[in-house]
Amino acid sequence: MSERVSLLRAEEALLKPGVYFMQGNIAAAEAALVAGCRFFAGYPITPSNEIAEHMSRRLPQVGGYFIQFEDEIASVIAISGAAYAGVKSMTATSGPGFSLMQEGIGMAAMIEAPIVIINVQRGGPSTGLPTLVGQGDVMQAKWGSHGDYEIVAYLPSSVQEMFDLTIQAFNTAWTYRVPVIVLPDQRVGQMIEKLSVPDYNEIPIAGRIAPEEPPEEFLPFNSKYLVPPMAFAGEGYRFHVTSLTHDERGYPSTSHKISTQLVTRLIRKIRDNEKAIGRYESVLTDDANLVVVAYGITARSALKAVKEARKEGLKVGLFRPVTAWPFPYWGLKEAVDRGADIVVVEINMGQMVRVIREHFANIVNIHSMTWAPGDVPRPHDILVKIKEVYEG
Amino acid sequence: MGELKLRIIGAGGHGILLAGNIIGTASILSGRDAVMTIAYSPAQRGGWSRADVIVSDERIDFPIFDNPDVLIATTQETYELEVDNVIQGGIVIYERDLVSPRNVPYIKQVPIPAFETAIKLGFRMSANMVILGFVNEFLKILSHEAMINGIKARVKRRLDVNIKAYEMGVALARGVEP
Repeated sequence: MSERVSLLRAEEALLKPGVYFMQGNIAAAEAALVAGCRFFAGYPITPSNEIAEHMSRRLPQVGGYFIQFEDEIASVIAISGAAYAGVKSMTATSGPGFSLMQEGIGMAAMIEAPIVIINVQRGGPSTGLPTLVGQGDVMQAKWGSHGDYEIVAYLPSSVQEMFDLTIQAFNTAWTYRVPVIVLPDQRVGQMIEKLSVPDYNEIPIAGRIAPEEPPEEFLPFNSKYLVPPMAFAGEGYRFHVTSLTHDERGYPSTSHKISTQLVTRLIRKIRDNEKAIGRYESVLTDDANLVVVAYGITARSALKAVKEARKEGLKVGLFRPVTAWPFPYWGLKEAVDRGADIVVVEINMGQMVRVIREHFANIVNIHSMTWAPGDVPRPHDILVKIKEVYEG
Repeated sequence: MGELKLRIIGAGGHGILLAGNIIGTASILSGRDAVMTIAYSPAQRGGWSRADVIVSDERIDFPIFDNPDVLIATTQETYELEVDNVIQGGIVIYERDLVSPRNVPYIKQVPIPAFETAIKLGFRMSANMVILGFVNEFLKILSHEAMINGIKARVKRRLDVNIKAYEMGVALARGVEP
């Protein structure tokens, strides 16, 4: 193990186990440090700034580095480079910055750089509503860069999940060598609530899969693995990294066979593991005739609406995807088999609903409750929609 | 106590967010759930800031509310902005020397000389602690010990004066001039 990897934990400088009243963005920053993040590259943007600000103070305290770059394009590329140097790395941004990062996300997917990007969603499109909530980047997270690739994205809906899922994001990024996006909305990022930090030995931390072969036999993109072991720069392994389509040695190739091998593997390493990666939470869905699907802050409102509906005797449940990508469609299957109506509530003009239609259209009725960015639908608003659908 | 929705609003610099943070911190340290959301006026300087705090015996499902049970306002502008949003039967606590209240039916309005008390103490910036002590004695949100633990967790500078200001707020609410 290199010296750089031994920086993974500096426990005395990390957030102590205990209970805190903490902002979501700051909880995510502290979680990144616990996960072993020692490099942050970013460019300021509301409403994600608390993450960068906090990291700029905290990283030097744990032996890490913080650089404010000239823009988001440089930032996301810098963290891919740092990951290849053996340092767990991240950036944080919001809509306009996330758009700029798309090229670098595609590159990270192609070179299989394990990076974490937190996109605190604000209202869009374009510069939109810098200080206000939106959930309009769900599709962009999946499809934002060109070509065929897979990413993983998490949808925290509490300060606790800002912490837990940021650690999970690093673990997933390093287990699968894939860019992982943490996708809170402004409300979840900037609200302040209870955070419980467990003992560190209860928090699993994943690192790279190191090569076992001697350097002369090492292939950096060895296709006998779905996720090739990763050598770090400077460890004595020879390898070449390019965002061009490349062979197992990492050299550019125009062969269709090589292209097939590479792109198929980039896709399969996530799709074949979708049930290991994908996560969801179901509340009161066992006997539900209607299931509300919501995520982020909207899931908090929907939960209250579902409880109100139950008080009125309506059999209603909540399905909350914890991963946007892979979308945990299998968690909805039981309700769909029962013929339950689905109501998808999100602060956009209908994005996640498309995925649910992809899986379950023509099987059950799928309703979209859209909501323009800038504010959160109140429990009452969702209850009105529930009743409208429930009572047909 | 069940659930309390508390909106604290005032000018930037009045320590609104710190007061909200202390209530939230003290609540979770004493085993309750709490959540706070923050809003600011668009101005970078001279604007208002608002802390919406929910304290509950149960886990809080939804952190946002429109109509507080209790409003605390430290300026005329912010009082006017929010007074009509208070629920029927709710309570408004306002800074006595900076707010002229108007007659609003079905709510109880209580003045507090927070700044006068803080200035007497020689530390004007502790007005938010006076308010905190007053509010906690008046509403019995938490034990005073719990709230002082919250202050200790959040206040780094001039802790002794801040705790004294809190105690003076408590005394004001008991109707005893300190």
